[in-house]
Parts: sequence; structure tokens; C-alpha cells
Amino acid sequence: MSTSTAELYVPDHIVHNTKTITFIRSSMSVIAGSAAGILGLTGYTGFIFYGVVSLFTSFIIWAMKTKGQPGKYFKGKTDVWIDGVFGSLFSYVLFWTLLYGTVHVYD
Amino acid sequence: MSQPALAESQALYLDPVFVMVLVGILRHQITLLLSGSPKKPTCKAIRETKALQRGVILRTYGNNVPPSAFSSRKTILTQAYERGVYLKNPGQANTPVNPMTDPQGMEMMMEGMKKNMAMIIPQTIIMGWINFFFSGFVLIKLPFPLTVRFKTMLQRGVETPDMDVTWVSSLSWYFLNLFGLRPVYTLLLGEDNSADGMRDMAAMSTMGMTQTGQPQDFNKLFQTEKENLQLTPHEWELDEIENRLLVKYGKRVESIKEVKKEESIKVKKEEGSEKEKESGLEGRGKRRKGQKRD
Amino acid sequence: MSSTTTVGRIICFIGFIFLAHASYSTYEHLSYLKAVERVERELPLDIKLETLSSVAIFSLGVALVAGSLKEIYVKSEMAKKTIDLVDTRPSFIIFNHRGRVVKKQ
Repeated sequence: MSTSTAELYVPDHIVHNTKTITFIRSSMSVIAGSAAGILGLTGYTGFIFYGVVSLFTSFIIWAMKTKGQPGKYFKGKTDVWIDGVFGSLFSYVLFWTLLYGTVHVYD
Repeated sequence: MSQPALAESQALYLDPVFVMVLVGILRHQITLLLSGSPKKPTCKAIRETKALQRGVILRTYGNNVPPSAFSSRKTILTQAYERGVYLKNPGQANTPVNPMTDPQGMEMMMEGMKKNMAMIIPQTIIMGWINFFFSGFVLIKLPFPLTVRFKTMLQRGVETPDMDVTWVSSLSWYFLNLFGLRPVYTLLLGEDNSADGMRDMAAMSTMGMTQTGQPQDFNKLFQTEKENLQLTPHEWELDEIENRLLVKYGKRVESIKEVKKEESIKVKKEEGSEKEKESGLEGRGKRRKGQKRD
Repeated sequence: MSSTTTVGRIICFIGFIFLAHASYSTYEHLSYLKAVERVERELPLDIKLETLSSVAIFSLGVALVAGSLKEIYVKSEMAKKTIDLVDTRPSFIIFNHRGRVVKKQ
């Protein structure tokens, strides 16, 4: 019986965890985009707002989902903080633009 | 910044969003309809893959069975691989598989083509529609400024040199939708939906290789597996297990064989070398134990 | 659907109501500013607070809806299984046993 690193993990669970995190992140990016649009943020402020919300989301995941032990659920140490942040940036921009246009431009 | 000529109906920018969400749902349903239930592989095809797996299993876990069992299994499997007993059609072992004549390969190609159609046609139609109806005026204002270099790209069809770059035309709005609507689809249709255009595009590059590629030639795989099996050494786990056990629980410091060797060495060497050997042996015992547990 | 998910959905709904209300308030406020022809860049504080709190509420709700994570180590997974589940193998299944006779009688 060989002791390779691949056998130490349950691949299904890794996929499940990634999916869960992606769901949280994309939902949050939609809401954060809407909030940014309502607040009428423009330029760099909007992207900084996204960073802050992402950090907050990461903290929520860290505290509520991993219960402070991300090592149990993720292979990499930074996965909880980074995974899916840039993937959902486009959704953020989309809803930011949408709400900004609805509330602030075409009033 | 002057207010540019907006469309007459002011909420025109909402139309592409609605249409794209609805088309995404439609695509999802069509894909479900087209793909249907996955086709079951035939009994012989399963046997083919399982026979290959048997060889792999024997190679990995062969040390757990006694040498006689290992060698008999090895003989039978190598013979079977060589003769092609487990092949789907043993007759044409050496002819390369033609995907056109193999009915299953044909079906797979049809599946791929259907999926391709379901993903390409809606994208083309939406893009054409947006180009046709929404060209010539700006649609929406981006909340963040871009450099002037983007102007030609984002404001195509709007020939106003002085306009702010933040105002963009329909096509840019379309692309933003294309990239950003994925979570909406996920919320509406669940995790594994096929509504998203971007994932398809990413999948298309990889699919091109596997879909049109030849089905696996099992004869070749069997031959390689045969060679691998023949090269596999066998070392039974239970060899000298008594000594290893005793060493593990600290009842004995050396194995019998080692004692014999050591006696001859002892004459020449000092006590220090013996200690070294002992610690090395203990390490080996621990390693074994760790392997067992995994 | 577990009870956590239901609670999460309710929280999400509350957050959504807050967000919708905030957006409508902003719209009203901007319309008002336009009507009295005043130019003011800043939004009132209550709208800002409402939006931000809706984001916070929503993040809680989404985290509850998403369901729990699973531990990725085989070690912890194996700890949950019984020996019968792990150690079952086809070689040891006996089909020719006394059950046949017992059933006949």
C-alpha cells in the first residue's frame, strides 16, 4: 500500500467544499455589486468596496463554515481567503453597473 | 460632460439582461432534453476496463498475497493480455479502431455535435440581435473610468470623439452580461447547469481533443499492462513478520538473519555499528507499520 | 432542506428587503434633489447604513444557506465508518448457506 499524498484526501469533499465556497462568494458578489450601485460608488472606491466585502465574506466563511480551522477543510492555507475572489469580480461589476445605471443615471 | 443621446426608452439596457437570462434557462432545458439519460456501456466494454484494472490492482497490492498466489495471478493475467481474451472483439485485436464504424463512437460524436450546436447558436443569435437593434447609441454608463484606449472598443458605432469613456455601447454591456451572469444561473437553475456561455467556451477547447479523439485502443493498453506486470517484483508482506513484530514491540532488537550476519561482523567491528543497525531496523519496522495502517 | 437552510433563506429575504428599500430610498432622494434643484453628492447616512447592514445580513444568510463543509482528510472520513463497511469484500460473501434450507421449511 503506497502512501501518496493523493490518497490522504477525499476528492469528492474537496470539490464539495470548493462549490460551497464559490456559491457563497458569487452570491455575495451579486449583493455587494448591488450595494455599490445603490451607494453610487465610482472608480477606485467601488473596487476597494469589493475588496472589503470579500474580506468580510472570507471572515464569515472562516468563522461560520470552517469554525476557525480552515486546515481541516482546505488543502491550501490561503484557499479560504482567496478562492473565487477574482472569478466573481465580473458579477460584481455587472450588478454594480446595473444598479448604478438604474438608480443614479436614469433617474 | 454632456449628456449623450440616450435611447428613447430609458430602461433599454435592461432588455439584454432579461433576454440573456431567459436564453440561458432555455439553453439549460434544451441541453437537458438533448442529452437525455447517459447511455449504458455494454457488458463487454465494462469487462475490458475491469480486466485492465485487475492488472493495476495486482501490481499495487501484490505484496499482500503469498508468492505462489501472486505468480499464478501474474501468469494468468499476462496470458490473457497477450491473447486479448478480454477485448471487446478479440478478432480484430490489431486493427485500429475506427470511430466511424463503431456505433458507440458515432453516438458520442453526435452527442458532442448536439452540445456544440446548443451552445453556439444562441450566442450567435443574441449577438446578432444586439448588434442589429442596439447599435449606434450608448446604452449604459459604467461606474468606473477606463482609459481612452478602450474608447474605440467600448463605443463602437458611436462616432462622438468627445464623449466620456464611461458611456459604453450595447456590445460591451453584452459581454459584461456574458461574463457576469453565472451566479444568477446558479441561483435559478442549481449548481450543475448548462446555461452559462463562458464555461462552454472554456470547455470547448478541451472538448475538441477528447471528443474527436480516437477511442482508446485497449489492445495497446493490455500490452503495456502485460509488460508492467512482468516487471513487477514481489516481496511478500509476511516475510520475516515474526521478527518485525518482535522488533516493533521491543521484545527483540535484531532479527535472526541479522544475528547471523552480525556474528560474523562482530568479530571485526565494534559495538557502535551494531547500534546503528538497530536504529535502522527500528525505523524500518515503523515504516512498515505506517504502511499497514494506510 | 434542513432547518439551517430555512433560517438562512429567511435571513437572506430580510437582507433583500433592506436592499430593495435602500435602493428605492436612494431613488426617491435623488428625485427629490432634482425637484428642488439642489446638487448634493453625498447620500444621507441612513440609506448608507441600511445598504451596508443589508450586505452584512445577507452574508450571514448566504453562509447559512450554503450548507456545511466536509472534512477533506481520509483519516476523519474513515473514523466515521464501521468495520463492516470498510472490510467488506466479494470473496467472503457466501451464497450457499443455510438460509435456503431455513426458508424452505
